[in-house]
Amino acid sequence: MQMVEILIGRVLPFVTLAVFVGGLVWRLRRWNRAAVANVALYPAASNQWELIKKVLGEVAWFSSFRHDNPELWRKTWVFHVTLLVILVGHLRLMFAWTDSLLGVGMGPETIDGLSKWAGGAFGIVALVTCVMLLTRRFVRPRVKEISSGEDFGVLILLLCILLTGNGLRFLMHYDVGVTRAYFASFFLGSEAPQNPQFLLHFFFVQLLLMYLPFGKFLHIPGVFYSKALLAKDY
Amino acid sequence: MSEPSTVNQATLQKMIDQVTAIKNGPRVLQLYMDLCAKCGTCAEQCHVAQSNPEARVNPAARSDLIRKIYKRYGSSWGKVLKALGTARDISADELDTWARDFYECSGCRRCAQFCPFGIDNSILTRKGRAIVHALGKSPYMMSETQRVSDETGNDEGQSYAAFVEACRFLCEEVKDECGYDVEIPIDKKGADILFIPASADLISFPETHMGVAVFFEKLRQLDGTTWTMASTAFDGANFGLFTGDDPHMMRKNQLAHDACMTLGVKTLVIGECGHAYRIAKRLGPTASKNKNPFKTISIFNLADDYLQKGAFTFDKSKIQHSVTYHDPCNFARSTGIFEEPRRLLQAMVGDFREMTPNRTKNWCCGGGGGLAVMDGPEKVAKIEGTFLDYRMRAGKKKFEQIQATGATYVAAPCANCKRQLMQLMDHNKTGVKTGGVFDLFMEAIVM
Repeated sequence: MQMVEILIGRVLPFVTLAVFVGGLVWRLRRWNRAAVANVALYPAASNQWELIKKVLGEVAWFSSFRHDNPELWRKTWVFHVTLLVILVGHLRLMFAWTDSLLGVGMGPETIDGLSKWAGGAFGIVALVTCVMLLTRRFVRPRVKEISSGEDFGVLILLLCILLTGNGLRFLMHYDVGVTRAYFASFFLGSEAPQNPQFLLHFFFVQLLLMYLPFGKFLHIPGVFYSKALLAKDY
Repeated sequence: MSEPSTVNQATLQKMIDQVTAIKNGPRVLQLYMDLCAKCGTCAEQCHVAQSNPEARVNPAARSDLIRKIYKRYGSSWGKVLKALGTARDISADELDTWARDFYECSGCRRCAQFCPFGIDNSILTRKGRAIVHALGKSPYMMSETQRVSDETGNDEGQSYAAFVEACRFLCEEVKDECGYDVEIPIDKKGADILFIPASADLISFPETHMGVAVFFEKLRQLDGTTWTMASTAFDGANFGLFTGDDPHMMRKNQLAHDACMTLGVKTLVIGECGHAYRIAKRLGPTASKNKNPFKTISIFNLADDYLQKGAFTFDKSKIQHSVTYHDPCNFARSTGIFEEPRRLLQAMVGDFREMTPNRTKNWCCGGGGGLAVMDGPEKVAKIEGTFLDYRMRAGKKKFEQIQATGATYVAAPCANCKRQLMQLMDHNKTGVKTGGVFDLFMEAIVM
């Protein structure tokens, strides 16, 4: 067990960091250096401020298909919003000072309660919507015919992350102090975490981070680039 | 059908090289290789996919023709991605598959409107078509139209004498039908405006050109605005956009640019042709970004300026039809012209009916991307049936839209849309008349 703890908790994270950061930098540089043509699609923006408003609005609300593909919109918008909230909430697992930011004047018991109940609820909703996104790849013919191993694999990886994360939340008492100590001394050589459920969750997350610069999760930075290309008419 | 391409490793390697070069740009293609999440939204919003359950007409599947080759040969992980189904080996009949499949997309850009990431499959279609064209396998009529255009300066192959005679004849027709004396000047130096239509209007849709002549006569009466056409550039249509042949596209538009400079006009006005306007305004030598000594606008911009000033009086009783408006894809989605034609129609017509959806979300007629000019198999090796069969099937959504309005006239300011819609209305035995917007101007204007 100790070898696994060291590999996942002490060795792999550095590999993950290098691959994630290096891969993203490499991809963004490639996009930034490439030639840009006018491919404006109307209604388009005629100045920078309009462009920023349009792109941010479309990304925040997934507005391009909100009314015209409601079946997908309901599942994926809720999925993405819950993931975002969960990610922000995870900051308190790493940095003690975030409690004062996220808590905004609340006491420690209130913050713990919020994390337990709201965090738990978002974890369930994220899991349910993830299952729905996976299911639709099997039951909708026009989605099934374009789905490949990568499309199914990535959703299954997300499911593993959400299942193990919800397991940490609901099936055991989890000590926030342990993970905070781990991240605080991460670069200085801390103890490897020992909780097997945590190690599993952490392992799946690292796989996702390493995959991100090389697969379709590049849409996280990429959507801003591609929407801006279509929206720009100046 | 033409003979299938024999397996030629050099040809396949050229295709691979053209695709993997996307690594270096342009940015839009790099992004489209990386981002598609395979959500299926594009298929829901594509008129072709909605009329045909075949997997290959799913826009994401068609774009995957390029993506999967890119990922197989452009990445060190190509074989791993192949195992995941994200990449595949190039096949012996790849070129024939591309020659068919990329001409099953009409390049309408509707998918891009709805895609969560703004992936425009028409841009990938054009890339695929460019590779097909460079390897000599474009459908017959596409290559032939370009050849004729390069030889004669217009897609119809009209001689200067035929052009002059057509203009003279149309002026006579205006006199006979409406009693107006109009002139279509040719090569008039120092005119305010050089007007360029799709030259198909001169032969196939004369009422549109007659309406334009009446329009310019009205402007002359209002404020002395002068206009001319050019003997060296009377065709704005440009198949370089459709085949992906950028040199041809630039070459053809250069004729318009040179005519503007030679004649010393202040404004280039493009007629009822969406792709001609898109190239003239955005892509070619006459594009606004090039800071030419003339400005480039659509005839709808020009008409709308006068309309907004209250310069026109119309007799709505002259138009007996109930009229609906079809948004040509290159006007609405690619150049933002969708309110101007509507304002003009609503001023001229007593019974105007909007189809649903409309404007930038309107459905393609099914004849976009140059498809409207093709009726036969066009020497495409793997085609099933003919292009006419394909277009009548792909036009199903548009037919349903028009029928739902109950209109008796569909105004479509695009020569290709007009051809497609005329055939579609005939095919479905609707009795709905197809014509341009300026056809109605001629009838309704009070001179």
